[in-house]
Amino acid sequence: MRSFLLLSSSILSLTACGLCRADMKPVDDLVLQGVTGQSGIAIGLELDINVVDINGDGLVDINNGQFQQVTGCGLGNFDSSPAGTCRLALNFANRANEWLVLKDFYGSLRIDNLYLDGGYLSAADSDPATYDSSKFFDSSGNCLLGNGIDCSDLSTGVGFENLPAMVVRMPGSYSGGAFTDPTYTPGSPGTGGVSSGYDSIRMGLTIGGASIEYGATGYAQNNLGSFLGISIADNNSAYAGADVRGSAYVFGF
Amino acid sequence: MSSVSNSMGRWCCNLSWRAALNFLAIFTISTNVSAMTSLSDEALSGVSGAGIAVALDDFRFAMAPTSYIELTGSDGGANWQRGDARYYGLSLTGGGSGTDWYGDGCASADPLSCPLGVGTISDFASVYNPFLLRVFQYEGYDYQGTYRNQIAPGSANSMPTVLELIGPSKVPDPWRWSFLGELEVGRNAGSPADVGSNHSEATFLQSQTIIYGKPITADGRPAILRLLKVENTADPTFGLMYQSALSGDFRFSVAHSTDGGPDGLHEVPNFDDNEGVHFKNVDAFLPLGQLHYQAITLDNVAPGDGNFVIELTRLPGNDANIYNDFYSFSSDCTGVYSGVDCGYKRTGRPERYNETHGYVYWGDPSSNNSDANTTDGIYFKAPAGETFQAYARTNNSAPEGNNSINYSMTGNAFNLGDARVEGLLVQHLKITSLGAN
Repeated sequence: MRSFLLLSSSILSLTACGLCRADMKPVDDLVLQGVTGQSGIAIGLELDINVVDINGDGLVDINNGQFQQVTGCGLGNFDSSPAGTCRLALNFANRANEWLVLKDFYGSLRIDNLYLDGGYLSAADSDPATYDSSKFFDSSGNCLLGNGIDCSDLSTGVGFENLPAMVVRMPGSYSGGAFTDPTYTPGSPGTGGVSSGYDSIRMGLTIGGASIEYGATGYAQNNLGSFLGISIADNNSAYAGADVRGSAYVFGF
Repeated sequence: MSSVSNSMGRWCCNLSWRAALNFLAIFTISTNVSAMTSLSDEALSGVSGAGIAVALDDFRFAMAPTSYIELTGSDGGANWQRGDARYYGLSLTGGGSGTDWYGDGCASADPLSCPLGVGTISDFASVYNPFLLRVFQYEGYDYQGTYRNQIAPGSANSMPTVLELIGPSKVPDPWRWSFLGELEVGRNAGSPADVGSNHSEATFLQSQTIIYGKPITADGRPAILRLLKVENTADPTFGLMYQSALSGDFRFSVAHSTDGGPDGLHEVPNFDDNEGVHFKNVDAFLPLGQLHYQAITLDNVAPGDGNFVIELTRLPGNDANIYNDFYSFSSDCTGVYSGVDCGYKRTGRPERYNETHGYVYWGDPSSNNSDANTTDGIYFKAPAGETFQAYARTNNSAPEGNNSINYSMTGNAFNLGDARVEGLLVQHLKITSLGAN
């Protein structure tokens, strides 16, 4: 399995700055305060599992519109040894020597524009009438909100809306420097249509088959066929696409 | 789950949300830019790590009309054929105006006429009522019949700990779920039919499913997923519990528009805006599993043929405490039956009855629906401007003065009325795959 977590160039630049500080011109706080668009950080996320990137350019090699899986994978043979080279095996508690083996398992995930920031719950402008106090008590009935807040009176302490949160934003489909609405263009009869702009999340996944395999090394066996396979893709691409918009406020107590 | 093995290597990620929050705070503060939001130590000091909350604001998710999740069948056999199911265009969108996957607007103001809302859902999960992932302890009987009610760990009565994901319990605006389904029968794995194959070249059925509602019951109970260790000393395996909650309107349809849109395998059809079976004012609650004596478990088939079993376990045998809890038997009989369990009652049920028993209402039972009603209950509807005949056979005189015993009416929509299922109790459910080996 190979996986990549690539941060955007902005983060890499920040990292590089630490190495070459002597050659850079210092910028004081006053100047920085005038800079716009500096809130948060943007990242791109790439995750590849058992797929080929021959030249190491970070791009998955596509063959006949599909991922090119690693050698020995994707053979579609689920009932004879040896096992394929790409598989994921799960073993549950009290199920000794019984492995749920996912066979011909490979895929790729791309998230190009994910924005991380810090913030306060007030930014969500949620309706206070939706409050459910039962979610904020522990098993003994103690209020967990902390910061002096009483679960029955949210205005106490720092106030509920002043609780901090990690904010994750996805602004939607991105194309050529702008965020736009995705589209679908019907094809002519027999050719199928094409979706465009559904690129907030792009994901392709193949699990060719699955079965229970037995023994201490059942995870490495391929004897008992398959009862189910799963594929995530697009009619015109190895990647299924989705348009995602919104903000997630992640907080805890 | 106790272990994971991957043939190409092992990897593990353990990202503490608190660490992430602190990292973010440090990163943000260190840049010392006034426009950025810094999180003070004082604000973070109240965090104890007991739970993670995720609120979603102005949220919208729409998978491309040509993108799909496919469940692939195994080769057919005697008396059955291979089946492959694709789910295209899975989406979670807002109310108001919308379009279909083909790109057309929708003729009707009814949200069920459109699978895709244009807008977002403003309070998808409010910060006051977020998705909540937490560990929690609940009182209850375990599989052996022991009542577990002690907070402190280590004793025979200690409450088991469960990991649970709880959905929002108050949702101001309805969500719109939808997907385009395609079932292909008899696919030739070695030579599958081409995109655009017609019905003589491939056997397939396309449909659309739309739900416009809320992930809660009408009385505000949320959906809950629990992960736990099964409290059965004979099988302490990985277990799941799911409390399903849903209210709103539902439509399932298959008719295409008459505008000449495609009708081929793997092509996006232009569905009619009105046709289909509708369920209005649905309210459904279904608990699968009970703390701490019934859970959903995963297993193999006993002969070891490679197939997979998902099972909602049976109740333990002959334990009065568990049976009384599960069935909500009352024990308030009087007279010569004093102290004897009375069984089900129509009134004065124990509170536990509403936690162990589910229900499904299709339509508001407080009103009677006319035969052409399209706002409540269950009805079938033809495309706009088209009609169909509905038949009924009566034993004597038919309604509205029609004395024929074979009674029929012609119209665009016919309402079947409301339906109601109460006291849903799932004692045992077992699903076994058959395709392996």
